Amino acid sequence: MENPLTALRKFVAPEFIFGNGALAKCADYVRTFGASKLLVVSDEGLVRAGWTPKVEGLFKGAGIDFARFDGVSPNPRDGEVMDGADFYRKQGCDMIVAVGGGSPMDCAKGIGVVAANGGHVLDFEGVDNVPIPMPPLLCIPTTAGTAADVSQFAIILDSVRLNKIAIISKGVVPDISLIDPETSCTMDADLSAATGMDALTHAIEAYASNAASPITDLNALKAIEYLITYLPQALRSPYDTEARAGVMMGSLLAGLAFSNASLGLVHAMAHALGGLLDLPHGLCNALLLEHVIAFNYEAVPERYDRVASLLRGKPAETTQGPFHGASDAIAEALFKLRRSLGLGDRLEAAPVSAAQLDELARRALSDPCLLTNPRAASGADIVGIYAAILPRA
Amino acid sequence: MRRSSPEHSEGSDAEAQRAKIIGLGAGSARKSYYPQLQEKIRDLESKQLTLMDTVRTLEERESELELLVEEKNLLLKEVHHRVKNNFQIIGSLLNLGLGSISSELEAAAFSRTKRRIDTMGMVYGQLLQADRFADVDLCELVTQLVNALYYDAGKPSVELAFDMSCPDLFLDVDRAIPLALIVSEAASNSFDHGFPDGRGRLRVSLKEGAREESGTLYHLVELCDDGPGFDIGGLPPPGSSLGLMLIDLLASQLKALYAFDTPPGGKGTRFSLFFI
Repeated sequence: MENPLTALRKFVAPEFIFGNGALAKCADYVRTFGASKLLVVSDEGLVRAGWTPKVEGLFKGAGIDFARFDGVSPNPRDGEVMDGADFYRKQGCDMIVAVGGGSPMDCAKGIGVVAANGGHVLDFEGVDNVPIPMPPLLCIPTTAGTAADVSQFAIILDSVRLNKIAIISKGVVPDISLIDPETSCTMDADLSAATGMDALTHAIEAYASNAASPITDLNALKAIEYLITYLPQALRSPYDTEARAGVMMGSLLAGLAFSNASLGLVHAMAHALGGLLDLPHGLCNALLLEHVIAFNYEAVPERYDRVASLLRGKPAETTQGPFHGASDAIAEALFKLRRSLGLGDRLEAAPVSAAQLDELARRALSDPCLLTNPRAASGADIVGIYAAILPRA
Repeated sequence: MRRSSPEHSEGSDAEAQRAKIIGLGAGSARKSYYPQLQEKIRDLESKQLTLMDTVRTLEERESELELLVEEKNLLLKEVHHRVKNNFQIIGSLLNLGLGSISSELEAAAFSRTKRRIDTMGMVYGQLLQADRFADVDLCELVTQLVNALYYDAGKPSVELAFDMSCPDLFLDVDRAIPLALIVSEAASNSFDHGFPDGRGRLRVSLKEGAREESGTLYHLVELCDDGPGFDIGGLPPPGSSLGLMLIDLLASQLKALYAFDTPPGGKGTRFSLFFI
C-alpha cells in the first residue's frame, strides 16, 4: 500500500483567472502570447447565447484578427476536429481560443494537437502520445462541470466505431483559463444539473483514486463542499451569481483534482455509454455514481465515509471509524441531490441488448480511467452496474 | 487505507500506463516549446552563417568582376585608340599622296576617300572622348561631323543651322559608322554643289517620330540646302557615282530609307534618311 504522503506525485495546472469579469481579460492574454490570428472554437448554442460574439467583440476592439469555427456538436466527433484543424491551417491561425463547455474545449484541444503534429486526431489516443505541444490554447469555460479548461484530458468520439477515445497528455493542458462564473448563468436547468453532477463525479472519483495525493485530496474535498452547497441553489436561482460562482469553483477544484489523480470506473463506464449510445456525459456520470461507489466502497471505506459526511452536510470529523452505512448514506444523499436537480435514477434510452451490454463492458474495461479506480472490476461487475441504470431489451 | 493495485491489464503494463496518467511516466513532463525553439534558432544561426559565407563569396566575386571589367574597358579603350590612330595615319598618308597628284579629278577622288576615312576615325574619336565603349551620341556625332565638313569645304559665308531634337539617342559602333558615312556623303554633296556662289544655308536636323499605322518609333536625319536644287531626271543612277552608291548600300545595311527631293518652297535640295 502506498503512503499518500510519501508516494511520488505530480500536480499540473494551467494559469487561470477566476471571478466575474475574467472573460474581459481575453484580449490581454492573447497579446501576451503574441498571436497574429486566432481560431475561436465554439458551438452554435454559445453563439446564440451571445458569449461567443461577446468574446469576439473584445478581440475586434483590441484589433486582434480571428476566425470562428463553430461546427462542434455535443460529444465532439473526430471529423469535426479534422475540419477544425483544416480550417485552422487554411486561415493561417497561430493560437486557439475555446469558448464553451467540454465539447468546444475538447474539440479545440484536438484541433491544436493535429495542427501541431499533423496526422489524424485518433492517432493520438492514449497517454502521452502527443509529441509536439499544441499551439497556445486559451479556454473560456461556459459550463461548470467538464473542467477541460484545466485538465490534461480531451475526449473525442470515433464516429466510425462510435467509441469515445481519450487523449491524455500534459500537452493538452490549456495555457490559460479565464473562468468567469457569469457565463454559466445562461445554462438551462438540464445542462446545469448534468454538468454539475459531472463535476461532483470528478471530485469523488479523484478523491477515491488510487493515485490521489494530499494536494488532489485538498481540491477534491473542497470541490464536494462547494458543489453540494451551491448546485441545488444554482438550479433554483439560475441568475444567482454567487451560486453559479460556487458551482464553477467546485468544478475548477474538481478539475484540478481529477486532472492529476485521474478518475475511475464511473468515467470508464460513462465514456463507453456516451460513445455507443451518444448520451450526455454528465447524465451518465450522475446515474452511475452511486452504483460504482457501492461497488468500490470496500476498497477505500474511510475515503467514502468522508465523502458521505460531506454529502450529508456533516463535518468529516464527526465520522468516527468505519462507517458501515456510508455506502447507503451516499446513495441516499445522491438520490436527494438528483431529485433536487430534477434528475431521475435510470437512463431514458432505447432498451439495451445483452450483446450491447457486453460491448459496453468490454470498452469500459479498456478505458484508461479504470487504471486509477480503487477496486479492480471484472466484465461481470461492470455489466451488473450498467444493468442498474439501463433499460433491458 | 486499503488500496487495490490495478489489475485491469497485464501487471507492469498497467502500472506503466497508470504512472503516465498521473504524470510520472518516462517523458511525461509537460511539453515545452523551448526545444523546438532552440532547434529553430540553431537552424537559423547555421543558415545565417551559410548566407554570410555566400555573401562574402559574392562580394569577392564582384570585386574580381569589377577588376575584369576595368581591365576589359582599358583594353577596349586601347583598341579604339589604335583604330582611331590608324584612321588618322591612313588619312595623313592620303593627304601626303594628294600632293603628288596633278590631275584635279584624281585629287578630288583622293580627297573624298580621305574624307570617308576621317569620318570613320571621327566615330572612334567620339567613343574615346565620351569614355563610352559601345555606342555614340548621334546628335553629337552628326553635329561634329557636319561642322568638320563645313570647315573643310572652306565656304565661310554658308550658314549652318542645327535642329537636333533627339537627345540621348545612342547608336552602337556598327550602326554609327554607316550612318556617319551617309551623312558625310549627303553633306559633302551640299557643300560641293549646293552653294555655287559660296553663300546659302544648310539646315541639319535629327528628329524622332512615330508611324501612324503601327506607332513604331523612327528617326529622321535631314540635310536641306537652299541652293539651285537638282533635276531629278539629271541625277545619275546610284551605280554611277560612288557617293550615291555608298548611300544606297549603307542605307540598306542600316535597313533605312532615304530620299533626295526639293524642299517645300521649291528651292534647294533635301536629303532625308529614315531609320528605326
